[in-house]
Amino acid sequence: MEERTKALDAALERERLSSELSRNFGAMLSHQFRTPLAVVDSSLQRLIRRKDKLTSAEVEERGMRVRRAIKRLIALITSTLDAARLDAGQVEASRQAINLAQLVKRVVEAEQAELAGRNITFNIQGEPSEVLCDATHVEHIVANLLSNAVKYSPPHSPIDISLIYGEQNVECRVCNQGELTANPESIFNRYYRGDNLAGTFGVGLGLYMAKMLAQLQGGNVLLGDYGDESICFVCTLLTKKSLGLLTDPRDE
Amino acid sequence: MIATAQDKVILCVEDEQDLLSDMMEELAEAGYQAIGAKSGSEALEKLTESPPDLILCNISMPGLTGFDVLKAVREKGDLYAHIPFVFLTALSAPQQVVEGKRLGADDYLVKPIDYDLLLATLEARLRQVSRIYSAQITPEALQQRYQLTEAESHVALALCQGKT
Repeated sequence: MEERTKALDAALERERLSSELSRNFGAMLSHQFRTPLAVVDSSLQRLIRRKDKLTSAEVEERGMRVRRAIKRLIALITSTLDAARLDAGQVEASRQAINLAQLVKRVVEAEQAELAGRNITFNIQGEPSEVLCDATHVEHIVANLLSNAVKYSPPHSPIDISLIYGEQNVECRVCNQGELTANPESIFNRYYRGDNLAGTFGVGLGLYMAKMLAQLQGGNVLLGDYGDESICFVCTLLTKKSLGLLTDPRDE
Repeated sequence: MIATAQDKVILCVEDEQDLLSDMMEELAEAGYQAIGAKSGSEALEKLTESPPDLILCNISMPGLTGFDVLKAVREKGDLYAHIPFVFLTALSAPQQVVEGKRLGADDYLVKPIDYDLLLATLEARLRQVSRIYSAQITPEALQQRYQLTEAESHVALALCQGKT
């Protein structure tokens, strides 16, 4: 009987948490979508109201502003849909042997605009070997870790990327300065956003997606603890040398 | 007495730079004097310099939220007690509207903001404040408070109401 009550209590608590989560999620999603929409709407109202007085430079400035807001909306829609596909089991991962260092460099190049002129250091430890993964997914993971590192560190502070090769695994560490304000227990939860982030843009799907995508390839994304004053996220992946241990039929 | 935009100071608090500058332009064109603040703490600094006639404030901001700003304003006492406080928000869930009203917000505008509705809301709130003021000031009250003769008190009242 006592056990039954305990089980019921636990179920009730789970239900409460999940309804709280979905309520917070609704409010957060509404905020994240409405803010760029408000920028679009405001710019267009101003254009209409001042149509006779605007110079072409002003028209261009407002047009650019609208396009920036729309770009934000598209990124939000994409990540919300990606997460939905992932949850529905519609995302697959291929496994190819790739050079991870080249991939990381490519992501850093592609993300220049996001990196806001930050100094990125890059170093490799251990003996490099080919990594077994789905390049598109790994690019997504690395880009997410990098953009988080920029978002949650002091302006102009450097970001350190290291690849640490082991026998069967490789770690890709992305470290930034600053203190972790988020709760390490829930940081990988879906729709979780750290405190004090109301003004930054995102829906709390980035790390959740990164972890799920890494796990699809036999790897993981974890919060690293190296005892220094930086925040490090680590993506682990399998090296080609681990192949013998795999039982995935696709690799045979 | 009808509130005229000309002499009214509106404090706008919004962390989204593009929205803040649009709103300030819109208010300036309507004849208000717009003061901008990009965060809750900047708003509190500007408030302390001199009390505005109305505060327009976003809710979800990094650092101090709109709720924090509203609490701080309401705790500032008499000089700030009459200032209408209008929330701008991208949150439309009823619970937030309820919480805002409970804390003493006078109005609520949901983003995207229609500028005609914004201007009409400001006008209505400012008109309400001046009505309350006029109702509080009577010749008798003026005579008592400043030891005026009856004739003087009528002149003073006319001056208070903006007649010259």
